[in-house]
Amino acid sequence: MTTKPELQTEGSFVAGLAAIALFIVLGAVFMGVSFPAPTGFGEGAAITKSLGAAMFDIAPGAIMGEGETAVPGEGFLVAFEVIDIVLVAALVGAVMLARREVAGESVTLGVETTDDDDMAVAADGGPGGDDS
Amino acid sequence: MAAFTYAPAIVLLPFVSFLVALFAGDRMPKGGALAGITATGGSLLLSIWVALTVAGGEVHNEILYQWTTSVETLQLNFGLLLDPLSALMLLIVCLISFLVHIFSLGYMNDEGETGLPRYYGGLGLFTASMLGFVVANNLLMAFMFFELVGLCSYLLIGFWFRDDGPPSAAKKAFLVTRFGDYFFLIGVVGIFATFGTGLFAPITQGGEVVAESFPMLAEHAIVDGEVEGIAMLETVGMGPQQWFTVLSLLVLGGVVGKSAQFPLHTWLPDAMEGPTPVSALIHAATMVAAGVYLVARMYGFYALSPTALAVIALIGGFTALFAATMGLVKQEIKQVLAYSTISQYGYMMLALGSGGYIAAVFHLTTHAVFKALLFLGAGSVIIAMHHNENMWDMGGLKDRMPVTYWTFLAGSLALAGIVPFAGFWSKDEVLYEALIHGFGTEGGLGTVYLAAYAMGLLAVFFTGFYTFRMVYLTFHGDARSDTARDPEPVRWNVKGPLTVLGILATTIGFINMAPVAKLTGAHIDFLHTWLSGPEEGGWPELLSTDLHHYEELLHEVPHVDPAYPLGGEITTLLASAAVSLGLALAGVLVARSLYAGADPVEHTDKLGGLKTLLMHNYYQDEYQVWLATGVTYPLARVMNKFDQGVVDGVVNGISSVSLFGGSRIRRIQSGVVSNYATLLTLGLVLLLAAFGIMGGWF
Amino acid sequence: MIPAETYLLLSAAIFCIGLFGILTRRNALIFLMSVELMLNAANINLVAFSLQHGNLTGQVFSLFTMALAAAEVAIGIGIVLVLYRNFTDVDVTKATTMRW
Repeated sequence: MTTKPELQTEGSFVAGLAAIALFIVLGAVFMGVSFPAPTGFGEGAAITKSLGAAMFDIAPGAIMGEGETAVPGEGFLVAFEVIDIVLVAALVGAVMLARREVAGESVTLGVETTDDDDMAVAADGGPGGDDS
Repeated sequence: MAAFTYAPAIVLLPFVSFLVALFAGDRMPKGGALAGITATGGSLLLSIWVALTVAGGEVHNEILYQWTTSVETLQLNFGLLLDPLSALMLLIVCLISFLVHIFSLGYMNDEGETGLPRYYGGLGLFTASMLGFVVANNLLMAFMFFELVGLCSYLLIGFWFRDDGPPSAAKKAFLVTRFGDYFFLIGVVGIFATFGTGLFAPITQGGEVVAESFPMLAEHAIVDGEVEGIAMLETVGMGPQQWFTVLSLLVLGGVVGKSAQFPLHTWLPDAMEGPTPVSALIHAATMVAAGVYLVARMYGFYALSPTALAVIALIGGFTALFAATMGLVKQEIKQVLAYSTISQYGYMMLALGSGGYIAAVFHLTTHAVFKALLFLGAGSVIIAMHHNENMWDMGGLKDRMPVTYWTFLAGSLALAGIVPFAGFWSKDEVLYEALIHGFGTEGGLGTVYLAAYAMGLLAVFFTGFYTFRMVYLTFHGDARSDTARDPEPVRWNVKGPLTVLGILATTIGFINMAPVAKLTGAHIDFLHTWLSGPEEGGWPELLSTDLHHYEELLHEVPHVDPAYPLGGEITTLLASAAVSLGLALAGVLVARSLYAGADPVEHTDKLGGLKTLLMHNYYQDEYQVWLATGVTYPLARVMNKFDQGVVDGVVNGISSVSLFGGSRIRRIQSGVVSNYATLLTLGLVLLLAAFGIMGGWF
Repeated sequence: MIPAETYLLLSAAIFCIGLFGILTRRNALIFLMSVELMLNAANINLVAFSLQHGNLTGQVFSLFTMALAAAEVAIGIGIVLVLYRNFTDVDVTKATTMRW
């Protein structure tokens, strides 16, 4: 019978009451609001194509096919580029955070070490993990 | 006038000598003495010039330096007031100071004393402060110099500070006078608050009164009824007469302390611990005169209040008798002279209180001369006796120290009041004025004057007695110790001032021989003319500090009038003179019979318990110490507890609220992220609910 | 057409479920998953209003939000990794040294 370390995942549920209270307040507000009838997108609206056009700042009507109408929107090219950069930064950041230094040598995921005296605990298990 | 332009130099020259002695005294051959002598000599010459100018009818009342420039209702400034009274006092102070400086060459330098720059610096600062006090034209400046003079007294009494006695005596002198000065300060503030000015005499420019003086304002308030301008009367809720009496009595506190009147007289005998020239200058002729001079300066204000006059006269008469009885049993020569000083200032206060302005100023002048003479003579004896002051170790010095003996005798005759020496004329006039005003004034005030007169008269007998007891014990009979048989010779720097003062003591009475003037009708009462001024116009009109003005005030407000009970004026005058002369001679003869032989005995032992009481000065010192330790100290302890418990407690309490609150509230920072999130959510819920209710979302 | 209020209610419910997870769960990874839920609740809101106004901006915005959520999770997991290294436990209630 293997036993594995059990993570205690239950917390005190009293704090959850705050979330429930928030739901009650929000629900009370939203029940009382009345919106006018929603304007949909119309028949034959090419939503995806229009989305692409909005992202790249091109006129939606230029890429419509037969029987497709464009949906109005704004240009989001700058935001697109910025988010691109943010994603790259996040990736690099995540890798940096996950690095581990052993005897002056930086260890990243996927590199094996032969140091048995190493007491630093690695999240990736490490060589000869102490799982029983 | 040119003299008045140079008048500030009278005060500044001794101050410069103080600075020179302090900073360069070590390098000077006589430790700063020559600077002091030149400075006081220069001041003396300038004072003579000023006096001559004033004699020509010119006076001077000018503001030299104004400190507060932006406040319109209150002006604080330094200024000079040079009128006959201040010119006379300037002469006295400069002359005595000059002679004391020369005497100090013999007393201090020749005796090989150390620390001379400190001594001459102290003398210079004292002279400068006293002269500044004399010429002050407003009450605040007078107060400041009053305090400075007290400081210099402290410094000089405690000159030999390495012994036990002098520092303690200096402290006592300073504290006792300071106690009186506390009331003086309140009085000064009161006068400024009431009148908006502290000027003694009005300042006129081109015929227009530019600045009014407070005695004149007070006079207008009482005599003319102009009380609207004085807002203070409504604040204190008293009538003008009552409030002005309160102010006069407050200022009198400082006067009583400085002039060593009962009950603040205890410091003066202890002040004899200082060097004898210091005693001569400060505690005989000038500093103790400051109190009496102040009352004379403000006489236009004091004359408005019969209560204050009664208090002054009573204190004066009582002190005269009280101190004279204590002087009877003392064994040290300087102690006898100290009690004599207290007693004689009592006479001056008696004169001022009973409306004898001229008599007071006259006695002030003559007393300055003969008391300084007696102290310097005592100093000469002390040098000769190698600083042994006990009279019972002296004797037979008259053959060995002739100059000292004859000058001392002249001073003693003046002190006892034997005709034709100075003291007779002035003391007789004091008693005469008290007598006639006692009979002439109605009601309680007249009775007070007569009571004070009786006390003063009795003191004349005692004065004659103790003075000649002192003379006989010191100079006559056989020498009672080896030092007396072979005294140290004194030099010209001791004998010179003694001779000058001896001549003055004999002749100065002639400036105001009022009885002779009245008998023969000759105008030889020079002091009277000096202080009255011309009949019409002249300086009395400008300053209103003249005798006629005071006599009018005394007649109008407290109704102090003369009356001649024994027939006319002449007979009363002669009778009073005869009585006081007779008592003085009686005292002298009793002293002669008891102490004049070759080998006198301590006759005072026969008094028994009375002698113990007198030797202990009626236990006044013990009483004052008890007031400090038994009354003031417990009170101070209670106040301290209040301060530490309540005031500090409140402040500490406030800080403890903050500390306690902080220590509780910080526990919110538990470090557990979920808690933070919970609090965030709760806050959000509450905010939303609040906005929703206010905005009507529901 | 479904009225917008329903979508709002749905979004509120999902948000509060995510919030509940943040407040009560102790495992840091479950914590991150709850944060993702909250972000997605906001996305639902955006898309619902895109339909309401007939404008594409809401949908584009929600696409960007998703991208950012992904980036944030990447960093978040890196932080959980470092947390585990320092405290030998992913329990958020155990990492409490920044306190009074």
